[in-house]
Amino acid sequence: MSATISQPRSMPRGPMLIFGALALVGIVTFGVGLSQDPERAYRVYLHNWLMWAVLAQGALVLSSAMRLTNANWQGPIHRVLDSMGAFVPLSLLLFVVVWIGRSHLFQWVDPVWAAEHIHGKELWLSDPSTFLRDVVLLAYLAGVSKIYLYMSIRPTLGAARDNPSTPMKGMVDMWTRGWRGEAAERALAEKRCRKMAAVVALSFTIGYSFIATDMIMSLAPHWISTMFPAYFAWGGFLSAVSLATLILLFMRNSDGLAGQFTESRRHDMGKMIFAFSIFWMYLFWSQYLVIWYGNIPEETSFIVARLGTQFVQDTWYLQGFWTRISEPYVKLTLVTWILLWVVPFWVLLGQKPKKTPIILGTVAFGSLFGFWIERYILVTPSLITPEQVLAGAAVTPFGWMEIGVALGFVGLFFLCFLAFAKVFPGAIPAKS
Amino acid sequence: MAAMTEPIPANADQINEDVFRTLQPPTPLYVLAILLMGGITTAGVGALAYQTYFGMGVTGLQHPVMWGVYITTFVFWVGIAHAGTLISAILYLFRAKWRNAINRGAEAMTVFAVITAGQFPLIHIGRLWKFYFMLPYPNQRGLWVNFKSPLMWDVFAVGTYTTISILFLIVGLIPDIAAARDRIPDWRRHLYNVLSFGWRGTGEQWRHHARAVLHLSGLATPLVLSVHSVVSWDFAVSLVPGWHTTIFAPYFVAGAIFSGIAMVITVLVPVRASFGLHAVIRAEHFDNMGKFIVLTSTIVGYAYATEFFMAWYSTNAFEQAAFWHRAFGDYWWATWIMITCNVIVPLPLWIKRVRLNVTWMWITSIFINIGMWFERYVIITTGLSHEYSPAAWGYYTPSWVEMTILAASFSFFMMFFLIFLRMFPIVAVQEVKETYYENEGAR
Amino acid sequence: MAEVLGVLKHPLDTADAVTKLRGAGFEDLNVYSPVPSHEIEHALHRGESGVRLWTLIGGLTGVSLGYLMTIWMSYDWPLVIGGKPFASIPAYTVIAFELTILFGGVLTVAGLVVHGLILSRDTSSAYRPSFSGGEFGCVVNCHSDQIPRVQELLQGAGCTEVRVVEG
Repeated sequence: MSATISQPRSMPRGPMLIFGALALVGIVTFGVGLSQDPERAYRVYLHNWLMWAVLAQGALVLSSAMRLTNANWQGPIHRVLDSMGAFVPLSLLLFVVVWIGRSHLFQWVDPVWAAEHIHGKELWLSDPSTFLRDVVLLAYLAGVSKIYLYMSIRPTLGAARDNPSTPMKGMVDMWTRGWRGEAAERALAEKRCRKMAAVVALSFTIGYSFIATDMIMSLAPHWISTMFPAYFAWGGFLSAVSLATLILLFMRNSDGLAGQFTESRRHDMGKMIFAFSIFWMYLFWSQYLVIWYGNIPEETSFIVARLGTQFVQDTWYLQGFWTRISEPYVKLTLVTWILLWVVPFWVLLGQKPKKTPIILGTVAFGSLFGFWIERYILVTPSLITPEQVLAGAAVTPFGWMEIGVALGFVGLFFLCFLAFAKVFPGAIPAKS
Repeated sequence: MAAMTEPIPANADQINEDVFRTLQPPTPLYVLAILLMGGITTAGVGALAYQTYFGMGVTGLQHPVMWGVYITTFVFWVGIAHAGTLISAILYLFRAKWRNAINRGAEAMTVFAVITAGQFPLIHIGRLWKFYFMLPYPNQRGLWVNFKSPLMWDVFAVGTYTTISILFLIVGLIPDIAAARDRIPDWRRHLYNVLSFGWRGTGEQWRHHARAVLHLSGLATPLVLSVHSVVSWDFAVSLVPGWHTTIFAPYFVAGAIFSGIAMVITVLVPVRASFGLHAVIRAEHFDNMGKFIVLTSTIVGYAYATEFFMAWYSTNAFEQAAFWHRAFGDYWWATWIMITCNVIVPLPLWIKRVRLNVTWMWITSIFINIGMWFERYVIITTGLSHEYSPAAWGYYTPSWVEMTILAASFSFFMMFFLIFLRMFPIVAVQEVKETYYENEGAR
Repeated sequence: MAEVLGVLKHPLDTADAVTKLRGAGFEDLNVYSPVPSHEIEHALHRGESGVRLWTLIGGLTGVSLGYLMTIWMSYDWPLVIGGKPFASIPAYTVIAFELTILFGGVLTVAGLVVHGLILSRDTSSAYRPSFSGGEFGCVVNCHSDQIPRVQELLQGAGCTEVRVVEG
């Protein structure tokens, strides 16, 4: 098996072209967007960056979690998760754009404004230091990810190492220095990866807690919630599970993966989406209930901007329901709630749907799409408040700029995914 | 490695013999332990009678700290109860086979811990005979209970948890009681005869049994999350600085599992040593429990850090003062006991060799129990003693009555556990055998 | 009618024996096992347990009861607080959730009692105490003239002992 999938091969041309085109669409859209409405362009960019950066890192956490729990998931499936992590270094690079657009996104980069409105927070939120901290964090995460990927991929490089025409031979040679033979390498990788897995998971939680605080919570600089960072990170993890399921379903018959994503593994993936989405709902609810009950304006402001006045303390009743539910963003928030919990819960409750590719795939896609909207909902209402929308500010998650930039990120993500397969042929089988 | 040299069961009958050794007639040491526990419990009952007669003035509870050791201990024991359900339900769903040597002990602990916990709200209300105020019935004026109060949620959560954990224990016990019925010749066989409900292990019975266990696990898993979440909301939905924080629910659940697993280790290590259960409860089980301790300790540490960070970041003077007071105020010692025991002491458990060292695990687990009790003490007392108005600040010192009842809660729990130990198989024989047939028992 | 008992040592052997017997047309089988076994359950081919339905009914009862009880009680004696609605759905969700679990769990156990303990109560004299220890029993109900055939099948399936219990 390893012999066939470790052979270098050319990149699958079709997908490369499609994702290349998508990336191009994204770049052009973003460029045009910048010239027309930079505020909107950066807002959309931040939303998509958050979605994909945390997802890529989440994929490596999933891989780590499987190693830590001795899950019976062998080679090729780990490789898919590893390849999803290939976007991590790029996400660090793409973060620079957020920095460039800071004055369009974060009020607190203006020291005068900060001194006046959020006095005391300047220590944490100020122009270069916040971004420098986050760059350092992301660089650290990228470093940890690289070490983990190296440990995980190394044993699959045996054939590439012996083949002089391997692409990026220099890198392959570097990554296989001191080769001990495949069997020994595999055993060693298993041991090393398990150690590193804990580091990956821990770094992810801490790293993305800070990213959530600095890049989302600070958009509404008065709002705090101790749950929020963990809630965001968990969402990133769950979105990675959904995308991994989707990719595995798409590729389940391709050569190196054939026979790997069996019915029982689909069942496992289905169980994960099912259980983790319940946990997501639990985190959502626990945060909501405490804020709802406390009813402190400082805290409820965040909820009101997203769920409207229907779901704050004294308006949980039917009179005027439709009026209040038509407030800006409310329906969208409810859609995320349906896609991320209602659908996965009720559809995947039984055993059969978890094993049926089309049903599992649809739910996974729905969950992924739900997260895309959820990230939008986390970012946008802080920048374009419902009052502004009611006063006429145009805002939609499905405008040309939103869709274009989102496609661009999809393209970039999968280009990384495929490029990883190119450099590390053992990593992912091509679609035959 | 220690795990390698330990004996594995020779055959399925051997497993029965090993486990049923705990059902042998009691040794003098056992009788002594029961007497000791009974004595301390009696002292606790005496203290309770004293408190009931003279009123709540005999406790240290006074304005502004009206919740003290009793509520702390209530939360502590509810937390202890969580390990049983984690080990029996969640690990069952995740098909983690290692759970089966310890799940029965953990389930029994769950039941006794919940029963212990359930008494503390009653002790805390002072007028024990008014306990029925908590039931949903209308009073003389036709007024119903207030379902908006988190304390009411608690009644439902803890009530459900007690019921389900008892059912879970009994359902798991039935096949093992049947095995005991077929093996124990003394008076207890009549008891087993009744409690085995005619179980014979037919294909039909196992089919329904497996389905019931699966569903109970599926129900118990969200239940275990909800119970400690509800307990956390007793605090979090209030507006007390240091209490009102959104992370409380998952943080309490992680802490509960953390302390629960520690208590499983604290209790099972002596049981294993005194009954020679080394072949059934092996070092690998401690290794796995150690991993859970590492995980939950990290989550708890993360929650501490997040709380302190957010208090500072909030720039809210009350939040900042509450957390400053927590770390460096009157109760600094309790806070640092909590941080040391819960975050620092478990750190060596990242190393596998340490996790395989049963003695080390045992000592660590005791520190964790102490740390987790103090965690609840810190949250409750520091929160209440320094609320918004400095004029209403105070300091709380528990009285001897509270300390006696606290000690009695431990002996009460241990006493029931010891009795259970002699009466019922402490290891889930059927499940250990199932694993045995899957692994060692090649045809 | 006769009962033939075969004693086996391993769940997989037992499952094999059951498969063979069912293949030979003997459907009236009973198995004694000290452990739960997927293989035996699969071989017996009895379909889904009726306990499923009990849990579902219990859960639905619990969730409806939870909301109905709390909402009804709030309206039975309305407490007017600042013009807020009498019923407080998020707060009642907690209670509805707990009652879902409570009723679901209790009815699951009731289902187990009905299906597993009352309806499938076993009083055959083929049972022996070792079946809760390390031995497995496979009991076949058959016509007296089929006894040799069953015995042969059980022997072939690796039984350590084959005995006619009553005939």
